[in-house]
Amino acid sequence: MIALCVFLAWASAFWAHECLQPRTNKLFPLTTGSKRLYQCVRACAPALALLLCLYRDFEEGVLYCLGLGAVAGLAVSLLMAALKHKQSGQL
Amino acid sequence: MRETFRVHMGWLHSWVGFLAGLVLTCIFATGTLSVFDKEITQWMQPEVTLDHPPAPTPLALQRAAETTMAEQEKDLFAFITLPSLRDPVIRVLHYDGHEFIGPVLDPVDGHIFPARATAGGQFFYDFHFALRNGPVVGCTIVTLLGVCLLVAVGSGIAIHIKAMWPDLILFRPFGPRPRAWLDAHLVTGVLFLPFLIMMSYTGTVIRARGILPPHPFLPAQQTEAPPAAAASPPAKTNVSAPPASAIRPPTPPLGPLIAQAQQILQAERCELILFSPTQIRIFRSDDASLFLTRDLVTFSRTDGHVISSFIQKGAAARTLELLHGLHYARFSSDLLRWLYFLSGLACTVLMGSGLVLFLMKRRKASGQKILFRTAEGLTIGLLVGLPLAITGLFWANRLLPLSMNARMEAEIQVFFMLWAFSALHGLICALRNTAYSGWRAQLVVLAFMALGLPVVDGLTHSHGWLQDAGRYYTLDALVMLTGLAALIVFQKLRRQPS
Repeated sequence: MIALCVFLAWASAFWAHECLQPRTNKLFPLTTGSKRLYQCVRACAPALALLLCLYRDFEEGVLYCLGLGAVAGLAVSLLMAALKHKQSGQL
Repeated sequence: MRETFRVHMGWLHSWVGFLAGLVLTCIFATGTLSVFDKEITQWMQPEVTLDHPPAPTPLALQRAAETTMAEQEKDLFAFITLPSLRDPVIRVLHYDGHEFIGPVLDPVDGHIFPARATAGGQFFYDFHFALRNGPVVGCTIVTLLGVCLLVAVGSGIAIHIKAMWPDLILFRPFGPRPRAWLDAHLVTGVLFLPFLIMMSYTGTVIRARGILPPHPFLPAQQTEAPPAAAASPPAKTNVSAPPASAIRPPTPPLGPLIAQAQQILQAERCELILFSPTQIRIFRSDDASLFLTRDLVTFSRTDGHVISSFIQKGAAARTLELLHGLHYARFSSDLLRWLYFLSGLACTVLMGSGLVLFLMKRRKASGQKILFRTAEGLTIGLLVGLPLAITGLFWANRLLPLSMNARMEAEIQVFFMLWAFSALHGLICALRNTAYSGWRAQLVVLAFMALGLPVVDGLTHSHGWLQDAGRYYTLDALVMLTGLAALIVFQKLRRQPS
């Protein structure tokens, strides 16, 4: 359960990071409020993920955090590529 | 100035990355498989049932000790590995110069399973750390390649550092081909950078002795304690056993000794039992924590009294244990082991995509040169040939007769012959300027073999349908996924002009 939460925290951080990039902003425009929210998520979610990992296992927490983070990043990257492809096809 | 630096780093990254990458990709791929070495061995020995609790009975321990004595009489340096959660059987192993192999015993009644002779997951481990060239030559080559990998990683970071933050997860698989490959290279490189640095650094440092022999600056190093010699069985057990006459046959019951060792070492479990003519050494299990320890208790072989105990405590020793632990990942839970596996897979993709990019960038300018074609042929033989050879090894494991002489060697020969054929075919196709057809033909063969493995596994009736289903079907599914990936790449390549 904790591992799933860590994965989701990292995934939301990566999602927010990509949405804040100008190239993605053109396809999925953000309001000023959402931009602030995304910046907040981008800053806080990795910290939350690390805390959860250390809570789960202090000795091996960093390994869990980095491993789940990398896998979450790859998953979001693939999802984002598919969404962008779909969106650009519709435009 | 900055651009000149990036150009130089680009040159370094390309050439070191490609030349070393041809072997490093194999090292990473086999290292990734070694994460599940025990599970692969179990898949390759379906005669061994794994439904026992990981606690050996006194009878089983007695039989294990007798089996060890019998092995030692054959001049083999045999030792016992006790059951664990991952591998709930007793193994009496010896090092044959490449792998640790030997009989497998039931932990309840101690009977020897009639398991087929196979190198199992140990084959990948040996290839990963010594390229099957022995602990001296092979390890030195691998360590030097580890240094090359660190150089390639450092130069890669220098090239990409400016775009690293904004392009953190940028992947455009639907874009132009070179762009898609570059994105695959970058996204895996950036996301798995901590893992890549950790594995290349720890892997190089723990074998650094091979390329930088230590000078005995410290008195402690000059008078190295004897237990250190036993601390690393993989590298040092390739010695013949003492003559059988020198071995004192009756050994004290192992159960009480193990319990005593656990108490002294304050360990939940002990793992290795080594025998010498006068002593019995019991080692703490190395899967209990992040630190890969070789703490041990030495008992007298005559009456079983404690002679000494050896527990590493110094900061330097603990640091080395941590580096070993991080690299070997024996401590890990199932989740962490899968994360290691996925990260290893991603790093293999990183290196493979780097090789493809190197060729793509130079195809226009040097496509007709013989060196370029040779490089492309070797790349085909590596990127398709290696998975093909691995799948072939699994096929051989299921299809070769169980009673065949030198069966284990035959399995390994199948692996290398398939790989050699693949490399030869790739080279011929590349030299005849038909590299695309070479890629396509080998991908079709890989897809056929990978998708066919579960069928072969089922048809050979090597195990029951529901016997330890998770273990068998996970490997079958992973190989099938490789086959599907090969089919997808084949479809993509079919649309390309020859």
